[in-house]
Amino acid sequence: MEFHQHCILQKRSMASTNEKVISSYIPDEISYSILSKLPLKSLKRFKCVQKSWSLLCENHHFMNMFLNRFLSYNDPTSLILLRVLENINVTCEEIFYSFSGERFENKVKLDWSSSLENHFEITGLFGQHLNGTLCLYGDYGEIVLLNPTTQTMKPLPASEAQSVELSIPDEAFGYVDLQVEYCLVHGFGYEPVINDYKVIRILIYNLQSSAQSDADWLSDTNFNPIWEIYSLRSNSWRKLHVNMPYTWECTDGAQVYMDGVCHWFCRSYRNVGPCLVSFYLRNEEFLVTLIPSDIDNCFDFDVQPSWINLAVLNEYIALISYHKETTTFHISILSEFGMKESWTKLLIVGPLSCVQCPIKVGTKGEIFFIRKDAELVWLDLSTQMIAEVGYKEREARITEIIVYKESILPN
Amino acid sequence: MASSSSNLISLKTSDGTVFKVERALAKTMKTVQAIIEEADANIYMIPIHNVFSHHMDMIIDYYKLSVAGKSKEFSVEKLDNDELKDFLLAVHYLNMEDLFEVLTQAVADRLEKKSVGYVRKYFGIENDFTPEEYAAIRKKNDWAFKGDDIEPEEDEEKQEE
Repeated sequence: MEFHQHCILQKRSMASTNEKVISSYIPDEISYSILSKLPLKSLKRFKCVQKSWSLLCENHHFMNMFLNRFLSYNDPTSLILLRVLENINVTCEEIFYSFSGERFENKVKLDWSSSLENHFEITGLFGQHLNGTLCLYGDYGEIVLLNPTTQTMKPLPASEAQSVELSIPDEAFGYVDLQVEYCLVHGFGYEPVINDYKVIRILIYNLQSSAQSDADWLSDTNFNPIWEIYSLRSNSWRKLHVNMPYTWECTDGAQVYMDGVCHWFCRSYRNVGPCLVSFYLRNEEFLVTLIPSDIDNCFDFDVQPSWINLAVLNEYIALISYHKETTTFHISILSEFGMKESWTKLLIVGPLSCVQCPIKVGTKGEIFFIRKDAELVWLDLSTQMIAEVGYKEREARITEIIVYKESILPN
Repeated sequence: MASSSSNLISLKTSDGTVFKVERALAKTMKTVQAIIEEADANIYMIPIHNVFSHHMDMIIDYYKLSVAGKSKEFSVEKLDNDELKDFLLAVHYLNMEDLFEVLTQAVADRLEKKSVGYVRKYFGIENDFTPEEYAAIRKKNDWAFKGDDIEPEEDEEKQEE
């Protein structure tokens, strides 16, 4: 504070020297600092205090203060696993790299054992991560838990429901074949109370009939899509009797785990619009939160599905979308599960004309994408600066990338 | 007698108490530091208005803890909400960045579950919405008023059946 301000305050206090209590008035500088430290729900409620506070979200100075604080939480940085196809001399070689460090400055070429490599053939690096463990899955229901640091791996057993292959006699038309067509992993989570890892998936059956058959009767038997949950401690699957929205987009990024709850988003499910599904591991119940189009209207463009990732930002679930037409990233967060009114558009970054294609969101909200000059880069949300990871798709092609967080729990 | 070459600075609070503090502590008070720098000759005593001796006691506590690397142990739990507000205003006047952040966070934590009515009183703010405007904004953010742990609004409590 400058000296003349000091004099003003002096005058003010001199006017009320007989009063012990200092004037109740709190200057904006102080109230903004207090408000910027409140959780979103409180901030929304206090918009009703007075007009100037109802416009805080449009106040750049305040939003900068709020975002700086919101995005500067301390979390270990992401680790990147990259699978690339490099042209070395005449041949094409597949190489795995790992990038670690504050600015991903540690680049290591990985040496997997051949058994691991075989698994990658089947599952790819397609999966989810939790506490430094990757849950990788393939197209035909193979699931593997992998710890890249120790290079230990555990394939998950098949479930009973998965191995079903039935020939059901159809009264009128002969035989009808039923088998699992798709195994879609929706969640990979951890239950701290019992120290158990869980995997949630849905099995979708395919019916093939030998003749023209009206298999209506099948729709109310138990061959509807079946939800299953795997427990690492019991090393077995169990059916879940729930009817939850599911999605075909089961990629790392479309699902996220936080605090005993697995979340995934569905672009559209039957008559329900885009929504977030939250599955509680403890009591195996779920909530559906619709995503209103005034929060993010990227779902309206059905010409080409827009890129969407879920992330955890400062202990909130965040939805990050890329709007191609405006080359902007939209970041929205959810204050209360199940309440569509509690979505808040946090910020819009861009236009970023250098974006070639977005890839993944990291564990600190960093957005990784391939830049037009073929560099793999990341956008830091708090500084809005773009930095290079240190890999260029030159004579190489990145086939797969997984971004995860190092283990903070003993495995 | 304090002089600019000694290591102690004399600060006189609103209630007339004189505190002799280390120069390093005085440096954390940007307001005081500015006064020292502007008056390049010796200063005997620096008056700090709006700051009472019980505020100075806490400031010195905080300073001692942070020098020992234990600033996390500093607690304002024993202060009620109004005492905390007064302390915050004093620290703001003295322009002490770190302690200011600590106190604004403490106030935010206390206000988190409070009602709109409470917050208005606390900040000394008048409701400048028309009844229609208030109804509209209230409705828009209705979800933020719900929850067992949220303090109900005074005027709405009466309407409950």
